[in-house]
Amino acid sequence: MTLNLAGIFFKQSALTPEHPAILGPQEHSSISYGALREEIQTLAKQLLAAGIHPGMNIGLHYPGGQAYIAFTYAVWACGACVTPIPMELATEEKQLIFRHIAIDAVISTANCTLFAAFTVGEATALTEHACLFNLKALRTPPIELAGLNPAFIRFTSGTTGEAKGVILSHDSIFARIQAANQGLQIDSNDRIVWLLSMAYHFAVSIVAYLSFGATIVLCKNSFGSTILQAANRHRATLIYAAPTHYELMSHDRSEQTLASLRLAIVTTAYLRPDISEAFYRRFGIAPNETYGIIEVGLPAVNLDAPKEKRGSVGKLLPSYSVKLDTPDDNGIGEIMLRGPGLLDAYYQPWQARDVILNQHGGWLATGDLGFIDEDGYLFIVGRSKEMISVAGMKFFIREVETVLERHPAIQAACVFAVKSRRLGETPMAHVVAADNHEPPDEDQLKKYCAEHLAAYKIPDRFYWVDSLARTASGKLIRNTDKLLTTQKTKIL
Amino acid sequence: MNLAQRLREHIFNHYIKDNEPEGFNDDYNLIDEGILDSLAVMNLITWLEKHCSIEFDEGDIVLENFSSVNALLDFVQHKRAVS
Repeated sequence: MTLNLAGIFFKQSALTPEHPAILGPQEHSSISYGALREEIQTLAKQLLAAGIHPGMNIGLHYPGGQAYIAFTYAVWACGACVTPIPMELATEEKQLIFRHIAIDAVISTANCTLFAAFTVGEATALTEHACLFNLKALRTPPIELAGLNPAFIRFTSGTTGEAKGVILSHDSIFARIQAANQGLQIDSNDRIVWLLSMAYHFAVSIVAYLSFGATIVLCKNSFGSTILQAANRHRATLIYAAPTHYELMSHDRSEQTLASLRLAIVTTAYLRPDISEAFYRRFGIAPNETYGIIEVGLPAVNLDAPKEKRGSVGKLLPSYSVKLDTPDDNGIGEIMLRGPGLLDAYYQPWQARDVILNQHGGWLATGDLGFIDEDGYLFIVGRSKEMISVAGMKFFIREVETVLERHPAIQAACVFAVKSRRLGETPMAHVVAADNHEPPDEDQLKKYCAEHLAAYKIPDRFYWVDSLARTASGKLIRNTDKLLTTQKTKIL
Repeated sequence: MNLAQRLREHIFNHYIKDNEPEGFNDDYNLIDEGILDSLAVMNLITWLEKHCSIEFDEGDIVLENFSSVNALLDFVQHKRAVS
């Protein structure tokens, strides 16, 4: 029988219909497993009536929250697949997803006009605030897709500027949440404060919580006092958040504690030691750093030594294996992983899991650089891929350079990361002026970028240079220190 | 362009884009209405520090200071006055 994550949830909700599935974001708002199941089944009936059927792929363009969860599970209940369309992306970035991934319909905010140009027929109202828009086919899906039992297609832009999508099947997601729970031990006693974007984080978090009978606590906003109020009001046992959230909680000046908390899970980005220390001093809890990767799931969590091994993502969870590819003299090499629930395929160009893994002898090359200490704890120290992570939101450098190089006044661009106390990294750019064009000022360039890129991808500073710095072999130099100190630059 | 205009334009270009809400004005609640999430708040702090020559202290990153364009402008004015 084909596994379906909606079916897993329905089984859990039959066992604990009265148990709260979601609490918040408003003070007294809550929905039980039974009520959420009814909401999902009602939506699924509406979707089926509107023509959604197995094998279809549905874009989800909606703010995170209870409705987002219900829409996702309703699409799955219809046998269709979900492609998240993050709300914060620029219009052009959203259109790129539709150009590269075959999407049959989209669930979106009712007043959204983004899809009007390629909508077929009338929109179907699903709730007061959401509609289903059937779309003209802009491309056909790969023929192999239907055979994978896909649940999610997560669009990612590729290293060469070409698009690709990560396909996760129901089976893979189920396998990875089982593997993660060998460490997390989530059950119906858990109440988990949720603070991340559901468009980027869902498969090993929301799905795990609802499959294991836990309660999700939503917050009204991400300020420290609000998170702490929600955690205390609902007796939270876990917080699942980014470093920024831990920093904001650490700065809270109230007397609130986190007495019921058993795990403070940090994901999306490296946790600065001073934030970890501040959180520990304030609450007596050392945050648990993790290693989350879309192609793999959650292979490592620092559960047993978050204070003693601060900066480490812990030992690998029991189901996973790790090795370092060609480590240097300091023992640092590319992290290679093996385990259950690895991605099923890349969408474009199509690469099935076997093909991806066979390139490295059965291992997944993560593109992350790290070392393993004498006690077996994994530390991540950087990336071999050319990416920037702004407060955990990762993107390929080439994507931003491509946008800059389309500007008529820019001949060439080199984007690089600079350390930022609050955001971890921020992008900056060296730009070479095109002949016969007046160079735009910084505000004009930022405005141009905002038309094409999500806000976090826009370079914080632009420097005009005569030429881009390159190695002797012609490769672009992206070493921040070298770029900021050895090149003659002009700040706009 | 004065600070209020620049701030309004920055928020509009970066966080609202093509999703302009009905009734958006300088008292519109940027947090409750989901215009600014935690990442946007951190980005906005960087922008304000750069363009307004102020520095945020730990206790400044609270809801009250980010709730609207007017709240942000009041906060900047206050920081400049005490520095």
